[in-house]
Amino acid sequence: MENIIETENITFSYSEERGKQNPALDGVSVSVREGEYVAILGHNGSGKSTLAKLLNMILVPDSGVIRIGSDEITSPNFSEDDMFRVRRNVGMVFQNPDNQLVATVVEEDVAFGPENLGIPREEIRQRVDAALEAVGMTEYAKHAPHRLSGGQKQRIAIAGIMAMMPRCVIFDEATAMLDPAGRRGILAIMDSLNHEHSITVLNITHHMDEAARADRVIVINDGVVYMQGTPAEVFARVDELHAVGLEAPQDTELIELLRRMGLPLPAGCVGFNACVDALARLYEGGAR
Amino acid sequence: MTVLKDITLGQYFPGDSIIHRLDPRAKMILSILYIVAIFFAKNVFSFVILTLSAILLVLISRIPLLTVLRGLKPVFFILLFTMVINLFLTTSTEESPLFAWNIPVFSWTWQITIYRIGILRAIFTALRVILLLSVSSVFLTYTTSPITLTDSLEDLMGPLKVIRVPVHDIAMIITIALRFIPTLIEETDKIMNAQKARGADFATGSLVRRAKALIPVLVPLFVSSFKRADDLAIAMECRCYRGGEGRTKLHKLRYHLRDLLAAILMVALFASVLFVNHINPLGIGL
Amino acid sequence: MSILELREVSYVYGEGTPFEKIALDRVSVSFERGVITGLIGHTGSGKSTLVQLLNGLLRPRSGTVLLDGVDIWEKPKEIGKIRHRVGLVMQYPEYQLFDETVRADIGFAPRNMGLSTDEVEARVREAADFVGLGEELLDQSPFALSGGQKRRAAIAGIMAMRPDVLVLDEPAAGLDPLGRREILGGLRKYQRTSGTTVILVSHSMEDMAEYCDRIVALNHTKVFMEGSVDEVFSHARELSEVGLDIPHIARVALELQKCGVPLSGNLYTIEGVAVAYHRALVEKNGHTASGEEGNDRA
Repeated sequence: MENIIETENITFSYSEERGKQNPALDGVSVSVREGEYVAILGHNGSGKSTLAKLLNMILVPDSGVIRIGSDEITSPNFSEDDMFRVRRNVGMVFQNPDNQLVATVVEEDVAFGPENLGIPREEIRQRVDAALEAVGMTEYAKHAPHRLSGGQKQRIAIAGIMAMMPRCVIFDEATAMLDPAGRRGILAIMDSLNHEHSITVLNITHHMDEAARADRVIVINDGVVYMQGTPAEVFARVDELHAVGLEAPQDTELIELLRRMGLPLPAGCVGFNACVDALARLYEGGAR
Repeated sequence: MTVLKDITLGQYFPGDSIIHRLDPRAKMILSILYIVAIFFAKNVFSFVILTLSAILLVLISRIPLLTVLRGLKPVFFILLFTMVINLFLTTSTEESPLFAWNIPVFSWTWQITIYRIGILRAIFTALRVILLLSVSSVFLTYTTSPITLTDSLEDLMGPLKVIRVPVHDIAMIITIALRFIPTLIEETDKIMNAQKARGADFATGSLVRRAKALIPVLVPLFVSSFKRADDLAIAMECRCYRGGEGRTKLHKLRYHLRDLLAAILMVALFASVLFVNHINPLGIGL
Repeated sequence: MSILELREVSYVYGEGTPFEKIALDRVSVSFERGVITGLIGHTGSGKSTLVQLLNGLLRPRSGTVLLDGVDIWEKPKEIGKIRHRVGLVMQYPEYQLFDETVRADIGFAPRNMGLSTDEVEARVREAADFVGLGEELLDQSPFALSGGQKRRAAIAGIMAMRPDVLVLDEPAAGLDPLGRREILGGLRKYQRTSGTTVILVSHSMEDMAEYCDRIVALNHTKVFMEGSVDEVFSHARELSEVGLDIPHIARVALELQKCGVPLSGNLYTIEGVAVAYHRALVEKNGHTASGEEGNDRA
């Protein structure tokens, strides 16, 4: 499958950073295939959010090449019109649910993107209805956003992006400010975007259980790619994760701990069911 | 202390009365016509016509009359003040005063006179304010949602684009303000609570002290508002916002037959006010 | 021995309006002195309301809040003193930072208490020390700090009151695993050295299991369960039946029990479950499990 996102050796530093020039990103090369579900893991300040902002042309890299689809957005003759085409294809959902809703009525907010794109009215209507349906917020179409819960606001923000019919959605710590129920709702929507709507999903997070749901995990640390691979491959390397202030999901940590205690459990067990299965099987004597 | 939360903004009463369904632009124009009519009204009859039509309007809109009257509470003292001024300070050379008192103030006498025309003026002025506020709020705030109001403002101001007035941007600013006012009120409440938990005292002390006590609230509020503005700008850009050019709209305002009928009625009302101004059968007027 | 106690406390939002909502319904609960109590419950269970009742930011509609056996609303004019004794760190407390330097900001509460300059300075240092903010940061603007440092400065701003009870509403919200450990681990150290009673609200059951001594679980405006961490999380099944979260690892343990693995003991931390599983395996297979021994971490 074709790459929808590709970066080659990009560097970026915030110029106003006090004292030393500490690059936020220092030679990052990653690629995401169309239709993939990728988690980008890293602790606060690792540079993972900077990467997201570069992909959407909110920031411009100091050096390196970024390609979105067939567009090379770092090319000097990339025009403003091109930029808006890229942004339509790569939507972004941010951390604070309050700070990304524009209108005082839910459906007006969802319509904001398509309105900006100059889509005909009848089609906007269809897109708004479909997007609200996809995030399960149809009944709130006429509500005022400020009366909704954080999780509901975040769903509206996702609907607003979906209404632009993007090929890829980047979630920039979109669950960090939500309660567990709100978070579960958003994760379920991420899954369905990817599985049912075939949209490429990039989830930037520091929640390990979120990363475990992805096809592939890219760990960023101090501005460089520290590790990447399937969740099983990445989480099996518990010690390396601990070294950069991260950890594996609790179930995987349990398996790894038991492995270190000498039990013959398979490495890289990821996910609730897989872990329970492995433990139950060992107990029933499958291993002896 | 959730006083701040009690401020209701743009007290929109959702409903589907004919008034609710009128085009918001039509309602703006109707309000203006009505307000002009109020200022043309000169005698008892014209005021009776205006008052009756206002009551009729409230009834049709199904907004509780009491709610409309309660909405006048903030201007109560202004009303009282203008009434008193009109009552005591109006003088006339054409008629003799209804009352006249001489009140000695030290070595000087203060003469209070009340003329018939003074009483009329007091009543008419009060009525004008009451009618103006209640009719325009029934038309514009109680039966029209803030967002359609902004839309219609953008539409009505459209011609100003010719002289380079950034009409779309103004409307967008109003929309965003309406969207964020509740958020900021909530945030203010939160910050005040956080500072109270640190022993801040907003309720006692001199005026200067109390003003100073607000610094721990205002600074964080500004900081977070700038952050919000920044976040929102990025989010809007990511959703391809690039000003009003080439934008379409989910909801297009459309005039209907009912808007035309309402306009005809309003013009008729206006004409009858002008008409009774001239005949003045009872001779009660200014 | 309890230090803070709620007796039959009810609280209603927007009483008499169409938006009326009961937040707490005749809640009686007591918080033990000198331990960390975790307050759990899903959104809307009344946690945030309860927290604000504890230091008198809200006044109960009925019932009493007792601090050391005395009704905190006995003298409503002196509620400010109660707020100094029951320190409250609200959610995302970094938004309360406002002063020119970190030092001045942490000193805000002690200054409001009318303490001398020396005393204020001493408390600022002590509090900054508790949260691990170095001397060199104290003269910076609080707005120049990193996210995690801002959070710690804000918490220090409450610790500087030397409260008898420190209440924290989601102190680690939005932080990464390391940030969480720093804040919560620091808090535990603070509790152990100062002896302050700590009440902690969190959505993360994993954190609760790791850092708390006792748990109070709220469910739909009422207290659902209270007890030591052991007691409460040994009822993992009941908790999850009413929709309350339990530590993820406890879910794994429950599922294993369902599959017929006899686990017992502490089943709410990774180490606990590891030990229990190992023991179950040993008991089943005789003297030796597949590993020679191990268990060095637990």
